[in-house]
Amino acid sequence: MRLLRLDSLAGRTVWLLVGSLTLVQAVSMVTHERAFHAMEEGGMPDRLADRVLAAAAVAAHSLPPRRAEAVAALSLPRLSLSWQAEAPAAPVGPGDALAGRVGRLGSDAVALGDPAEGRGALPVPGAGWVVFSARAPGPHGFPGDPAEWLSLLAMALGTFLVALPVVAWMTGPLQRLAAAADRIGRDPREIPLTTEGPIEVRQAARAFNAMQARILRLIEDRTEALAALSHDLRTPLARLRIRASFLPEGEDRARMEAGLEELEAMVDSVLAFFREGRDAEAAVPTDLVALLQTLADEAADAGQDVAFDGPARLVLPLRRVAARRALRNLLGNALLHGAEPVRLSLRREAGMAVVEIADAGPGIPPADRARALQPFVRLDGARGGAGTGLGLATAQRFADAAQGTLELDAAPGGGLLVRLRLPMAG
Amino acid sequence: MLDPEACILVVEDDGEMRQLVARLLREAGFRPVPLRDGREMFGWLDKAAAPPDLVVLDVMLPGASGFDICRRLRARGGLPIIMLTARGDEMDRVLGLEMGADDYVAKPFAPREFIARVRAVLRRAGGDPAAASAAARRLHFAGWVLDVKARELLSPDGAVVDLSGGEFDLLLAFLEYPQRVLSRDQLLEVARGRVAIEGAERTVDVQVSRLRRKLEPDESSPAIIKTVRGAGYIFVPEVARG
Repeated sequence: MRLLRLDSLAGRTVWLLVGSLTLVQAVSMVTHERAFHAMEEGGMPDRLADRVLAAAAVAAHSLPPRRAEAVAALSLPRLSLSWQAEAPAAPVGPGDALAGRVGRLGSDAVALGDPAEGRGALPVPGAGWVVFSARAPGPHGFPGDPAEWLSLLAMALGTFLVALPVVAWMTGPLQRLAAAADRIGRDPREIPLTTEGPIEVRQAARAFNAMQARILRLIEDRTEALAALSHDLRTPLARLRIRASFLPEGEDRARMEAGLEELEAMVDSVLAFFREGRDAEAAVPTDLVALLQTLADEAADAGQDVAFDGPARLVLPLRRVAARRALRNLLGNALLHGAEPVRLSLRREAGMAVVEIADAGPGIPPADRARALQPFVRLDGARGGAGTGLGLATAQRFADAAQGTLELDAAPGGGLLVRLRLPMAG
Repeated sequence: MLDPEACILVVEDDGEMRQLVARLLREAGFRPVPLRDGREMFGWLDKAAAPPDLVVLDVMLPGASGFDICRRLRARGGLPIIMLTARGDEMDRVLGLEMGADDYVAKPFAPREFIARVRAVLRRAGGDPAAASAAARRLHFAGWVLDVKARELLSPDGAVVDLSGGEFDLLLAFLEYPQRVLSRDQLLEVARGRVAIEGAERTVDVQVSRLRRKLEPDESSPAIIKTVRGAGYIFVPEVARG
């Protein structure tokens, strides 16, 4: 999902929002906790001293058999208290050494062992000793209360859920901009972007629309010029064609007519390329099987090894004239640049009609395939290949206009396989 | 049955092209009248003692376009018309047929094909009963529709089914003589009257089997064309015109 990917603008924004808000919240939680801790720790030794003195008083006033129990009952989580009758045997130091831990207990108190351990004893006049052990204050690190962590998590989740749609809304126009930029040059129509979203994005959309209009006008002008030239070539061609027929039968006339036919085919292919997707032909339900069958039969009648394999019938919306032209181009390419046998096939796959044209020629190496789809590129041009280099480009345009795809692949025998996918529903 | 001296008006603005088409027609045995544009043509028609047999009309004309002239000619009566347009302009072709042209030839054309089309249109207009039936715009059979002028076959579910030139001519031959046993020779003869089958040296059987594959794609499809052993073929369904 785009909104969660770290390398997308939307993802980064979402994670930045969630991360920074969570961090701020966590830091403030810890700071608050520390201040609270310090405040509490400040009065702690005096409170513990009061407790020890209270224990001594309790011991003094309790009956001897109950003294140990009564004193122990006064223990705190951080202060363990016990009573004993005899004086402690361990090395004895002055009780003031413990002042940092348990405050002042008077001159009678003694420290036991290392003062850092916080152990000491207080004599109870006529009633033995109260032995105490005060633990050092715990490290005030992260708060340990799970409820606080839970609230932090809830906040992070809440931020995340709010950020998702907001960021999607903010970056959506950018995505549409990218999609529209991607269509330029493929789809001959102008696709104006709606100017919405933040100011920057709106500016970008407006600039894009203006650029799109300029580019389309440029393409349009060039197309018109080339189409007009090709169109005008037809008039002299038409005259020559008739004039040639008045010549006496013979090799010269046959060659001249063949040359004229070739010229006509080139003019046709140039015009077909520039008009593809621009003419007003509407898509109508068409039996693609009949179309392919006719092409295969015509080629077979001309003595070429071409065969078609597919279902008995497959109807889909097609611009019929454009489809026939594109498929005829592809078949012609296979026969001209590839080698016989050429096999046409048709199958249905995931809502698409898939036409494959496979030849037994040398094929096109994967590195050259993208270039082969470019207009006016003839891969075997250096070897005097025929044609205008527009066959594949025209078919590609047809595929684009039909919301389909055209791809080049290797045929099982090593030749070229052209795969045309067309949506079953227009 | 074909008037060897059929009078054909050639309306074309390009001078050289006009002369060439006229010469082509003259060498084929017709009597062409070269005219520059619609005004000249209507002027000629107003003075002529007898109407011409055919008008060859360029679409791109100065002043009134070929389409306009075609419509005005149609309003005057049943003059056969062949439109000349730039090749590949499918819209021109459709529009031309809508306007009532009998046929459409794209420039540049092969001279032989052009003459064949002229002959076919003249034959149809000349009252050849078989050819005349083909002048009906649409033929219906077993749910199928053949649009003769647009050369388009529609299946019962409305899908366009592509036909080769030979298949179209053969189907038209069947539609002219439905529910009758036709021998291979008869079929060939009827179909040859049209253009596309010319020069195609392929047996009728191959064409029939191809046509059948398109008309009867499945095992479950109703039989349209049946083989009559030792005699030929019979087109089974009834044919309606209009």
